[in-house]
Amino acid sequence: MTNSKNSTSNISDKEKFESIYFTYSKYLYVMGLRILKDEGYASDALQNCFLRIFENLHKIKEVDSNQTKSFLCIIMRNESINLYRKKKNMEQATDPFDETFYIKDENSEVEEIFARAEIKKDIQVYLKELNEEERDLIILKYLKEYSHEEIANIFHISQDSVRQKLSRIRKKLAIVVMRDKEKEEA
Amino acid sequence: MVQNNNELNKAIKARSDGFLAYIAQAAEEDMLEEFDSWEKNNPDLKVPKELESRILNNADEFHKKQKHKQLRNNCIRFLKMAAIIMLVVAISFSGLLISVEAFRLKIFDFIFENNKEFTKVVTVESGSNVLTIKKNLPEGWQGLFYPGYLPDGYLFAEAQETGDSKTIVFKNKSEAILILTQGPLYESEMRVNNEGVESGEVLVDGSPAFWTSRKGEVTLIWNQNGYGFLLYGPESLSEMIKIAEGLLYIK
Repeated sequence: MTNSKNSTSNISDKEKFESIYFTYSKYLYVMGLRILKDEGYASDALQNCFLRIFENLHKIKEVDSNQTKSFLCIIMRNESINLYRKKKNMEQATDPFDETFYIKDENSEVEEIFARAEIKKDIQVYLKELNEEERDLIILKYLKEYSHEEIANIFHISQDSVRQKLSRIRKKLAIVVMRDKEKEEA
Repeated sequence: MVQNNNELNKAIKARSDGFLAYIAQAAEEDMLEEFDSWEKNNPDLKVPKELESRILNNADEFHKKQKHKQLRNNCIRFLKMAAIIMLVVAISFSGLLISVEAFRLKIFDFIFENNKEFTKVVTVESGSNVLTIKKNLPEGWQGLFYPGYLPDGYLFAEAQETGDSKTIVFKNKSEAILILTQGPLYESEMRVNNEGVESGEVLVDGSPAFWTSRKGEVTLIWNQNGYGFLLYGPESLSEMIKIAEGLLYIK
């Protein structure tokens, strides 16, 4: 992970930005093309992505690291999805009959479910319950330990929205854990 | 009992967060694996040159804006300081001073006595320099003194008006700040706090001026043509006098 050659402590913001650009631009552009399937939109997404990167430059400590790579991927994916939604004029609808609505989001209740959960060998059981945005959110919140405010800035959404989305993710995962437990008990 | 509950809750939260971090870690690995494969499958794909230059140019613009914002914040800090200094000057001019002789030094009586007549004024009305200066200054600012000479590297940074006084801030690449404050003079006396500072009298264009120096930062105060001036900066006294003597009157 640590690479002294790419350590950013002694370089200017401009140099850091350019180093990030030349290391990851192609990688991110390919991602935009895969998601948007349109060169024009992928270009717009990449441009927006690098604007967000500049705004969040202080969060990037090492240019050549998986941590930076995943952070940039989350930004690019988010920018691409936002553009895709605009393009298709899509809005994410909430399914009123979603079973997650039947679990209270009392933090303590959900936390207890997770605290008792056994870590499964097949992690895909949990991951398949989450869409891309939700995966990105838990990476930022629980792996990178960003605050709600930082996440809100990256996703262009309000802090309340971040809280709601995270609450929804926790509820979804809690259901998987409970189902597993019931299966085991049966 | 309550303490035990708190500790139990902390333990539950830590375990819950650990569980979610474990899922997040797996999500991150999945994501990187997927994107790495996309890149590998498109080895010849390149970011269009036009897009590349647009992004790098945008970054330059953004960088400049951020620098400007940072500079502005710094300047506001110094402008507040300059405004406070000028407020002290204005109060002193109006004779509302509570004098503590041990800490304050009366400096301006002699200046008024010696400087009733107008001294040399270099007036500048037009030219590209004047246009640039006027472009920098807030709208409606006219009839003011502006440095015709500045030490190497200092550029205009900010201008602000506080009551009758006008303050112009210059900054160099090392973030050193030079402040020129000017305002109409009301006949009275002026005193400054001279505690812990070196101080003395010099001549600016033949008119007496008062200077203080503390930790390498020099303040020069003088009056000319009915205006009071305060020049502050981390330059030598001789440089400060040179700036003071090089002031131009911008119509």
